[in-house]
Amino acid sequence: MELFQFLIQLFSNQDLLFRIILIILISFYILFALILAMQIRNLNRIVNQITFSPIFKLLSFIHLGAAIALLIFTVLFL
Amino acid sequence: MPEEQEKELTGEFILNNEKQPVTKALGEEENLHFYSSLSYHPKKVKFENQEKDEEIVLLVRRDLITNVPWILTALILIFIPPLLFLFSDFITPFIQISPQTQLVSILFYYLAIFGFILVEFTLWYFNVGLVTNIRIIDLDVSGILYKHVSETRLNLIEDVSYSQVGSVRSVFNYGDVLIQTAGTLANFEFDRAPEPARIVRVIADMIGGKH
Repeated sequence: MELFQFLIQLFSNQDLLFRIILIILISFYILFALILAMQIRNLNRIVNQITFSPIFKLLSFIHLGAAIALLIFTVLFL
Repeated sequence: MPEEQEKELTGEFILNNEKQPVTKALGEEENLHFYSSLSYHPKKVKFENQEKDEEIVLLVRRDLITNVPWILTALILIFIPPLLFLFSDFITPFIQISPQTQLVSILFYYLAIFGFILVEFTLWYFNVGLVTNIRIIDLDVSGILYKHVSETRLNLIEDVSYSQVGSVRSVFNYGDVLIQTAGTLANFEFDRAPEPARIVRVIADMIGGKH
């Protein structure tokens, strides 16, 4: 019965529902960003363009960092 | 022909197995940019398992014009939220979420676009063919979880050709370069490579003027 009440509350509060969906999506996105960063690092070992490879790796880690920061912000401040 | 010279030329001939000299006939050393799709003797590029005296002669990626579809898609996606904002009066009665949640949603949306651009650029940047004075290396990346690296020695190459089908390829001068290797070894293809005729000339020159 409590679960039922919780679900009713959840679906009547669009904002709360939206935040939960966002947290789930961002969590999956972090996994994707992590895989992407690792792949870019590995591929840069195969072909290393000395002037651009460090920038490329940095961009992929900024992407990962931004995703983690967004999740922390969503969980702590919303 | 003098008799002595004729004697010298008779008998079995052994093909020169030594490493081919680097051909510089078709271009001087070039500075490679991150957006370069074709480079002759690129400077400051290294690859895995590169031998000490191995020099990169050609670096080939897909032609730059092949990136237009995903760049356009990214631009359209970037302009969707401002357009939605213009029609916010119509949407607001149906979606009731706080401004903070809206802000996080928009940030997440733009982060996803950044991710999309990064993936598409990665797929283009790492789909690369390298021709060195010793071998040919083909790195194929399709999707972030799939990569395939293959290589063959220059002396195993039988034939090199290219095809350029369609008006877009003719206008922008790009096509598929096919490198056929001996026997049961896998063939190589530089997909949608810029200036395919020049690439074929360079490789043909290196494998000993078979063409």
